[in-house]
Amino acid sequence: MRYTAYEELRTLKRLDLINLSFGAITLLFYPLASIDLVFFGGLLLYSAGISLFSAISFITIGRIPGFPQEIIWLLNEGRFGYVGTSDKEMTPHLTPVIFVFDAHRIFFVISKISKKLQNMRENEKISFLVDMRDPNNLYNNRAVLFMGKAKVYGLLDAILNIFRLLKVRSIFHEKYPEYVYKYKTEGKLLPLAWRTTLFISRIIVGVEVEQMIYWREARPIRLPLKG
Amino acid sequence: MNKKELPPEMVEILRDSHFAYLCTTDQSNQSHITPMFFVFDEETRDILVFTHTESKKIKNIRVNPKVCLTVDVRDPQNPFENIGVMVQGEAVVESPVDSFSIIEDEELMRIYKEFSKKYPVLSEAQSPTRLKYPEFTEALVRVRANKMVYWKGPHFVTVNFTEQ
Repeated sequence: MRYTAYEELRTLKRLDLINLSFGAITLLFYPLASIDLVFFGGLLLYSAGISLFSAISFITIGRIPGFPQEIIWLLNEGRFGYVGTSDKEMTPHLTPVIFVFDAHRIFFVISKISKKLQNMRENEKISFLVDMRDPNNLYNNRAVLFMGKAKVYGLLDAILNIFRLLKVRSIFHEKYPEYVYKYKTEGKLLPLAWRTTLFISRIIVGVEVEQMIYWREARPIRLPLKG
Repeated sequence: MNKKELPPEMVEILRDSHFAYLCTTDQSNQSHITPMFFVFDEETRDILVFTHTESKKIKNIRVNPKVCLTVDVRDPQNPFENIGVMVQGEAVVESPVDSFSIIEDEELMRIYKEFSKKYPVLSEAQSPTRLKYPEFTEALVRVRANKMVYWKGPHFVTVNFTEQ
């Protein structure tokens, strides 16, 4: 099943921004309109109305997660995700990562020397899969695949998004307390490239989702029917 | 066949794990991932999967046969105990078979039997989803490894089959 809600919400937000800019443009006509009181009043009403309603709509849409409930559940409960990247030679690469979801975007942290990062620098298109396995019934797995672009948070991006990334850090600590503890106690024994020091050893990546596919239950394969 | 020895840990994961993740790319170099049931052929070192002929991964493989397949065992408590194998190679799509056709090919029959042995729960009588897909055509996809990378936590072992 394919969802386009996320894309539609982004379009609506874009439209709200355009409307807000129309509201701002009307300010330019105020000196001209001041010669006629009725015209001025009309213009004032128009600019106030369009700005107010667009701002309310923009804020309201921003609060909608944009993902169906079942996908949000998978993103919150799923502990491992798989990052698919591909270099400029079209050689795919796939590795598991831990990740968090901040109600809008998926984030994961990778080593600065990893092949994943090298691939993302060559080709920003990535895929990200989260699945939930049922050990009692192999068919009963569920998964969501996101396809889109990788947003690598360099130092400047991190400064510009400091509050968001602090929240991401706090979600990581809440979601993976055992991992945080292990890295804290044994991390110093690791080679520098695998330590968790941000911007020296590791870098944050966000997934800008363009398309998502959700599925439940594995499709069957045929098993021997010898005639 | 390349005779390079595989570390036993690598063979163990590929032989015993139940899920593999297959990554393919389309013509725009957009990657695509799907969880798969699979069998590891210890003799040829091929990874074998079955997939429906209309699937996105088959379409991608026809455009670009380079694939990556990852199998891992997760430890939710200790990141240094996470283990896995990543296989990079080329996929070969073999002749498709219809779901109710009679299989005459002995090699294909042997592979189906390997799947039955590894996944007894997937037998047709037990499959909860089997009735939803009364007829389909599937193809065997053989992933021929060029490179395998094994990891345990931050430690890696790479076996490159293309090197002499």
